[in-house]
Amino acid sequence: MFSSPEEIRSRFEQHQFIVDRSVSTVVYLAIKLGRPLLVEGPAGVGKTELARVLSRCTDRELIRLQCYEGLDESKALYEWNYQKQLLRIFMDQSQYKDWKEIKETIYTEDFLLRRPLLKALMAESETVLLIDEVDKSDEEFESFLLEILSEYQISIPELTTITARHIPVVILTSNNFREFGDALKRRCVHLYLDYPTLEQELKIVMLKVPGIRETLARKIVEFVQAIRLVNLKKVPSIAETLNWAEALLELKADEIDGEMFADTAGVLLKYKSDIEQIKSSLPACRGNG
Amino acid sequence: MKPLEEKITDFCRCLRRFGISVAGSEIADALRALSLVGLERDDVYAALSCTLIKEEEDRPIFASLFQIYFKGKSTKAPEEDIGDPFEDVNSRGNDGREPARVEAANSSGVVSEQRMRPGIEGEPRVLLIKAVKEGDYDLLQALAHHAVRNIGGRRPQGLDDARELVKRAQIFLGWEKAMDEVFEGVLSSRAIFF
Repeated sequence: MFSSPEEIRSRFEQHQFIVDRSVSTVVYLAIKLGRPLLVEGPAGVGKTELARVLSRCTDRELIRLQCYEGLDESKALYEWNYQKQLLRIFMDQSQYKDWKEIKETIYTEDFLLRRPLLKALMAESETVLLIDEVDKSDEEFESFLLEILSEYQISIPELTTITARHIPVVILTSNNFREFGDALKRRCVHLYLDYPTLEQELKIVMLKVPGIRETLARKIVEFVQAIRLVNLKKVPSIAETLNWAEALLELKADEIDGEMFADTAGVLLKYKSDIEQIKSSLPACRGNG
Repeated sequence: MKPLEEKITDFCRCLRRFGISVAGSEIADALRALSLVGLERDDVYAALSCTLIKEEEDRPIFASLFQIYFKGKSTKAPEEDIGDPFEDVNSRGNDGREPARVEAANSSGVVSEQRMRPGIEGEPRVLLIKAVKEGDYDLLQALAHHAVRNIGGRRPQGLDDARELVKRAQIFLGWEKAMDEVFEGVLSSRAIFF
């Protein structure tokens, strides 16, 4: 799929996803070692996006499983379509000789609802399996997941045992909402995705906000990078940097002063207290004499 | 065991000493990872950290231990194929070529032995064992003093955490091997030291 970390880096860049060499090395290793890639890091640094870009630049289908509290096998793996089974029984009611015959009719692939994990196992071609926010699921689900990610095989008692035709590239993301088990972590290759450096973020802004001048882009990024160090309720993500850059471009700003910030702060920061905190530390009006 | 494998195993034992749990399967992953990315220092760092470190809070410890265990060489473009990454990383090319771009500190984990000042003779680790076994507090104090002196020069920027300094001092002293030996002694003689 990829012959080197460098190839991953450049293919990602073609898809407007900027990573440094250490990130591409870890992604490369996860693929080569055949291990799930566990991506952790603050919200909005592109953990989910990494999986999307990987699927896009390898032309593999992306199968996504969003985790939440209470997620169980029936929603993650498969369940039987009871309504359809019932309808089928009612329809042919008179024709069945015995229960065995009914069973053989209704426990077939036609009545199987394939959830993301089963889809990934049964896929005809190679896929990227994204298990998003795995820290939100509960412990039972986690051990079940560990089993699947070790064996790539499941058994559906009424039907058969299914073994993956192609081992998917598995990406798990976590926001550290809950500490999760050692066993699962040990199976994974770990990637910590942090906020981009100034130069990286500048590159992203230049790439994704067409028409912006580099001088303005640099001021924006410097500003965002600085306020990320402040203790805020919600630190601006890359997407918010981009939205803010678009807003400032639209307003034809060329200087970020107190006034300009006050007009556009809502794009960048989502809490009133955060906005107030930053505002109070800015000179009311800079450079206008 | 090949020198690189030994080096990595030793490194992992050291991680464990500092409370980072590393499983055998993870060491195997780390070695496979190294064989895939080669021995350029940044790549070695990425390969080892992604296979061995699964908790973010362990990363600073990993970073300082890595600095001590794997002496940096420039990460400039490779002049030639580095060949088998499992080659002896300690033997500097007999044929004049550089065997690898990561050079391992010697396997006892003692990096700055040569910087021991006169006055205390012998390897710090041996002295540490002696001091613990004999309950020689003067010697312990002298060792601690030397360890602290020897970490000064290796301090990376921004290191202000006392815990990390302690770690460095311990590594200088060959703490982990010394403790192994001390505990082995305890087990075999069934004597109680502490």
